[in-house]
Amino acid sequence: MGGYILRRALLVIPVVVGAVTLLFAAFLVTGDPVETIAGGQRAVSATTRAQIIHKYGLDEPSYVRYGRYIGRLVRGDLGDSYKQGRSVNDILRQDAPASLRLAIWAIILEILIGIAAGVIAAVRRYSFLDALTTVSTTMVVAIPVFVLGYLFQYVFGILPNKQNLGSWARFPVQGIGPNHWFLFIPLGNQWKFLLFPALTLASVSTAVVARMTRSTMLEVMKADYMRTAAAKGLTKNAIILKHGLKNAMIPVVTLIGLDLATLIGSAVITETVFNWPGMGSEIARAAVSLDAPVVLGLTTLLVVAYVVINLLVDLSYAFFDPRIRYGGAEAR
Amino acid sequence: MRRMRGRASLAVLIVCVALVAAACSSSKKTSTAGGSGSAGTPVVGGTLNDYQQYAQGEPDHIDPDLAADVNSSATGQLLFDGLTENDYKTGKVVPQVSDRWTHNDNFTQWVFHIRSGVTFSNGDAVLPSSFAYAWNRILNPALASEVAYIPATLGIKGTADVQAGKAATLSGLTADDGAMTLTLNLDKPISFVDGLAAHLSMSPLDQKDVEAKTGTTDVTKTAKYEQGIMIGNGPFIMAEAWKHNVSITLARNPTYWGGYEGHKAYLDKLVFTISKDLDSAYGAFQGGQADTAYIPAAKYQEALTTYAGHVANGPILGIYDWGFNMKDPEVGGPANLKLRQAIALSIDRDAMITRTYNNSRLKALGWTPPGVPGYQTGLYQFAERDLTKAKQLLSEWEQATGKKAASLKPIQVNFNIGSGHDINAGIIKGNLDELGVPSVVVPHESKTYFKDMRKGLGQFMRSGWIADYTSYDNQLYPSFDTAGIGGDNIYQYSSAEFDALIDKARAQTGADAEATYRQAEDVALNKDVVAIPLNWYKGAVVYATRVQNVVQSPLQFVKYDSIWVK
Repeated sequence: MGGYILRRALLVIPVVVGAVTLLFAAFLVTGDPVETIAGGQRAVSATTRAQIIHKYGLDEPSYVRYGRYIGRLVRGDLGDSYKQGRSVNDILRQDAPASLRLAIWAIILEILIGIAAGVIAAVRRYSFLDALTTVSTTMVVAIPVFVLGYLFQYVFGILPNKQNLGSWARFPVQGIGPNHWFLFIPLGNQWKFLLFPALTLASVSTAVVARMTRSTMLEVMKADYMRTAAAKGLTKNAIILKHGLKNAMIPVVTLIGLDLATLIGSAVITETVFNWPGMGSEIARAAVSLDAPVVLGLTTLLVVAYVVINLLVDLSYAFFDPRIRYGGAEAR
Repeated sequence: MRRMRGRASLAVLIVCVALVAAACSSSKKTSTAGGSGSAGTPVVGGTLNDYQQYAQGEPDHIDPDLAADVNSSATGQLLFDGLTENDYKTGKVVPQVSDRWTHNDNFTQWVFHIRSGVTFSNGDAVLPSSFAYAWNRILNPALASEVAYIPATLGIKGTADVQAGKAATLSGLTADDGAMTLTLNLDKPISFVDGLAAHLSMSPLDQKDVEAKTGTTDVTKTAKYEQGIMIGNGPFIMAEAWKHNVSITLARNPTYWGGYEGHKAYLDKLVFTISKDLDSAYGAFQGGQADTAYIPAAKYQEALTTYAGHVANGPILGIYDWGFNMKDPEVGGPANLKLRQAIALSIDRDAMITRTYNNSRLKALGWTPPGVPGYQTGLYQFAERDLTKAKQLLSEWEQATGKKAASLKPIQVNFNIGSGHDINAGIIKGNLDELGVPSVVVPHESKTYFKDMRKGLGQFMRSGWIADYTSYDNQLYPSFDTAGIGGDNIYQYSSAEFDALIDKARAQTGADAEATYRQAEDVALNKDVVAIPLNWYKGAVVYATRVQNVVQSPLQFVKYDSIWVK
């Protein structure tokens, strides 16, 4: 298993190099960064242009710049933003924790609500609860995320204020608030700032997880070992949770794992509506303004996160299905 | 200051992300000019949670030598005081750090006397050399400042050499810290130096602090000064370093000398929340989270009713227009004058005011808005829509050129995505259809729009201008002078007559200068029909009942130092 993990970990290198190379090449052909660096609103004088080109090493051949970038990347130096006048490492230090915390809580809500709804719908197939799950998940998937976000803001933020309800009933409309955390656990009233952005971010994926859990559970419940477990006299809850759910989890866990990696960097709309200072909106902004160092730096981190999370998902399969072994030819 | 980019919306962001992915009732009680009625005696203390200033994202810069647009300049306005100031009540230039100034007969030499005892917030004296350092810094090409055009407008001797990197200091600027005078020797006569000196970019900097905090005397590297706690001489100080995309927090400057109004800031603390989305920021105000917000156009009338008496919606010295690329063979040049006149008369400004802006703007009756000294109503000849006359002019153009409008290659209606420009573009297209001129709307990405237009890539282009300082010159020169081509003169307009009138006006004062500027405006707008002024901006700042004395200057800056909270 150690060898398997090492081989998978080494995969990070070609994936990162490939992604960086692709993005680097893309920025080389998308235009002149001098005007971006100078601000982009006014014409740049020849003298200023020369100063900027020299300062950022833009007069060097592209392969030299690429080599230097990779060299700095290896040392953990992601360079300086063209637009913000600060290092990408600083941007990362500010945005990555906020994105990660939001994504983790979105995933927690996705797991709690999605799996529970899926299991209930499967166990009570064709019941009112099953129909409710189907209708609600379809509805949530159909509603655009920003509409859901604005709806939460109105119902839980604006309306209570208009109705002069007490502070217990009011939620902040937007922002990250005091930013008080223990790792990813919100402290004090931080949870009030977190709840609806996390719910919004989790919404679509939760619906998908619920539907997938339902369908895999329905498959698993037809299996011989479920009948065996019932014949053994196990309680219904034990059969469902220990034998059914556990076996139904592999595709669901794969989906959730991929979601976590995606949610870290793709929460642009949720971050915008709730004014959450995360990486998704930062990358979007940087891409639009051709701020190559920011896009390259933050994307590199996301690629690494994606590979690592996928590895953890793969390793988790052995927990859900003990027949799965890692290690190439010896695998059964 | 500021070619207006406008306030974008979430929709813009969504479109932007999609593009990236593909590549990889009227008010019963509204406010008087610019601000709220104030109430009672000022109260010192409290915190203001502001969601209006940065409702649409964070500023590009806050360093006074780098801040080039309204948003970027807002923080600097509170941190730094210049030689003079524009009194927001009268629009007149009043003494600030300089208590008096003189000039020679032909306006080529100006001497500013600096008040003694004015200090930066760290206790360092504000000296004539503090201004000289800042002015030399901003003009240094290594700083790559987009707002260097303001001090460059002065034309202090040696400006060209500094901007070319051939000299580090202005030869025509003498800072005498002993005599506390700052002497400016100019290349050309300029009669409004005192007004221009009120601009944020002309603020002093504490050289010692800049170099200590950036760890270098290399101007290139001092650009990072704004990333830490900048030291200024204004009514507020930075309570903490700029938290990008989150907030900028200021506190009262306890050592402030009082400025031209003679008082310190009343607020203990001022928190600018940086928001990504205008509607979300306004929602925060509706939810009681914010003390102030900028009202989205779609909610303007509702806000006037709901928050009657708590909206600062006075006129802003800004113009919104659609203009022609004067070098474009299809619409530019003398041969196409009647086509431009026909188009100007065909545009339905009233439809834009109601449909796009929900009556949150004023119909433009000229380029230069009311409030600018010298403004005269009725100057613009094409302010009222007249489709019959427009069709007649079009017919005359067809006869003169031998062209048929209906068979023209569609005229590009260029605009940057967001802020209702798309709705306006649709209205214009409809107007041109009625006129019989084929057109096509061409949306552009906001971040690159003006860059492309400056290069002459537009044909019939959306634009706008908010004044840098209260002056007729600033309304006209940047947008229409030949020197502005490649910069704010996106129309590529070059007229010897216009340029000569500007030069003449700059050497005049008072009513004479104003009359000459009006002649220049007449040339650009009526004689050559370079641009079509559509509407004038108004403020749209809403504030909570506990917030008192909210005043928005005609230059769009809220006077936070005059606000207090109950």
